[in-house]
Amino acid sequence: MSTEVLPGEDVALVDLLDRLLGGGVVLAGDITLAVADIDLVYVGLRALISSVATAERQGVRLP
Amino acid sequence: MIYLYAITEADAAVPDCRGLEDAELRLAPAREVAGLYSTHRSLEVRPQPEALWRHDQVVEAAMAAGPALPARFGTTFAAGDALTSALEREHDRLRDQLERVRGCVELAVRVGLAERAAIEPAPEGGREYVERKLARRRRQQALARETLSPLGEVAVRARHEEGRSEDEVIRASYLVRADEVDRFSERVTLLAERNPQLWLSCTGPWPPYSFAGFEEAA
Repeated sequence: MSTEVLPGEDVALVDLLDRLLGGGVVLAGDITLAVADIDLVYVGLRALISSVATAERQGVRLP
Repeated sequence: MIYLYAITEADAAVPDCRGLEDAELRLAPAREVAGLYSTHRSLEVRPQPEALWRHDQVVEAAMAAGPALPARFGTTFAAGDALTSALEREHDRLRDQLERVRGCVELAVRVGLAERAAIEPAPEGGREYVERKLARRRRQQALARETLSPLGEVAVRARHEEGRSEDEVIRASYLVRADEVDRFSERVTLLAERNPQLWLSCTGPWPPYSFAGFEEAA
């Protein structure tokens, strides 16, 4: 069985982000998010994920 | 100011939940379709987990009653008539797209390598290094797509995108009939068991985020 590298909730949040920020119908309204905002979210999320992964490799048990 | 969550059929019921800032949800009908929205005096949309999950929750609640096309996160209109005229303008495409996702949900699958690539002899130079790396990535992607093909057989539509990191080879989205979700997830489990060299993650069912855009209509 392959291993899930991220805890379930983080995986779901990454998948949700991909879809909410990159998918969905774009109607003629205003999309209020600047690209920079979105990049920052991903950077933040990556940092969170890699710190989670690092913690797990070091044997830290996460809730 | 109006925040848009989803497009539904005009006769859909307003879901029994709250929008961003706990605002009341309303439907703006335009012929056969409607926009599900909430009104705000001013709203600063930030992609924080709480707001993202709330948007998702509203779309899922709408989906419980019938087909829904999620709106891109952060879509706002100055006033209700701006929303209505956008719905009018895109009416036929929205109606057709709603029909395409009826009874379906989206499943998200990501595939990566469980182990780092074997150590190869040192490259002769920068160019060889880059070429090798590209060739390896292409091989991995072809392998991942082939591995995923049994999932495509259970899906109505599929989309594949390149993974976002070196560890992640492919990100895929599948539009699956709601009554096929169990069969789909059994196949994911089977694939994971048969391919210990890969890791697979599967989340969902989601609203059809990746199949709501008009580019899908082609």
